[in-house]
Amino acid sequence: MYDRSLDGETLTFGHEGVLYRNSFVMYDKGSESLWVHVTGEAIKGPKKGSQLRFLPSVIVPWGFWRTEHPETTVLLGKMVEGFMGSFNLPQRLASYGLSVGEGRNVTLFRYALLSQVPVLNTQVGEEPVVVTFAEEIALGAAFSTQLGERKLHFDPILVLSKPSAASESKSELPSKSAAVVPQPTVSTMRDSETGSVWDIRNGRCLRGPLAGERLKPLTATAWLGKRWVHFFPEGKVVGLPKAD
Amino acid sequence: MILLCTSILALTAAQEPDTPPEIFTEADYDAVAEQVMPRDAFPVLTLPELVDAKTGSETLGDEELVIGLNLDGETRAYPLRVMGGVELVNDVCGDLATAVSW
Repeated sequence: MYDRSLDGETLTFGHEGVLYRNSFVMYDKGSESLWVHVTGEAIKGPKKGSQLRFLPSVIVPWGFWRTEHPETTVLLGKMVEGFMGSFNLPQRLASYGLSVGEGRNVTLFRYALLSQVPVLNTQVGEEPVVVTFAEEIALGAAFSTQLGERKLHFDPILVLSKPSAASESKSELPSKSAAVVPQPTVSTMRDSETGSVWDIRNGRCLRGPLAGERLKPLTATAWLGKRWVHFFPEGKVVGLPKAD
Repeated sequence: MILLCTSILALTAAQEPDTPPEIFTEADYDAVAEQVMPRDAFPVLTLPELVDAKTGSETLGDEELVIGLNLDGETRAYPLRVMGGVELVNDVCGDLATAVSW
């Protein structure tokens, strides 16, 4: 997901028809330079070396997105069959990770780890960050923990909740959803400095002294782990020791 | 001792695997990129028509994964199964011209 404005010019991209390291290549219709869609960098042509600006985006189930954003618009079109486009939580936990950072300066946090540690205080490059994970919708996010002059530290808030009726009706969701005992889930976190409570999905402060504040989101994208490793062989991977 | 150190260094160097090629460079592109179809043979959307959430829900199930974009309060969703057949959308969201790729 990129801003296609570059130095005051709006680029329009087409499909080059080339496969490069398992990734398709874009060309811009003005200069016909070639761009790698994974990194947003021009690799060949007059704009070689130029970098498109990343825009934050998430990959979430439609039901969650339309509830959070009832005013959303959506693109419809021919739906590709047999494509990994439907939500399958066990498969996503086992195979995916959250890539945090931009360009080639990225770190992959595997979902298998984040499902165990849904609020992870860490560092990416020089920046102190908190990486969060809402397991029920496999939504990872990363935020700067620097808020003005304050540097915050977060702890997860566990609540016991019953599996939703929707979860129970879906056989592809994890078997534990079908259990009758309440499950611990984490959808909020508390900062140690002020005790304020924050939504882990969007970094908004819900209540407490910092209510109304919002943490700065970092560029973070869900990736199939084996594809990510292929594209970023020198990137840092953070995961469970055994599973990875 | 110096001889021993030199030997160890030489042994270490000899055992190192070949350095992997630096990827995302023009030289690497020229070496391994493959033209698999003519330019523009794959459909790309530019400023496509969009529908509201209610209309979208007539087609999309709640479990359908979407790429969600939230720019300056304007929100938009791109279902992965639609993007699987398109791969690239030149769009505008809020005040920004966007390129959505999958």
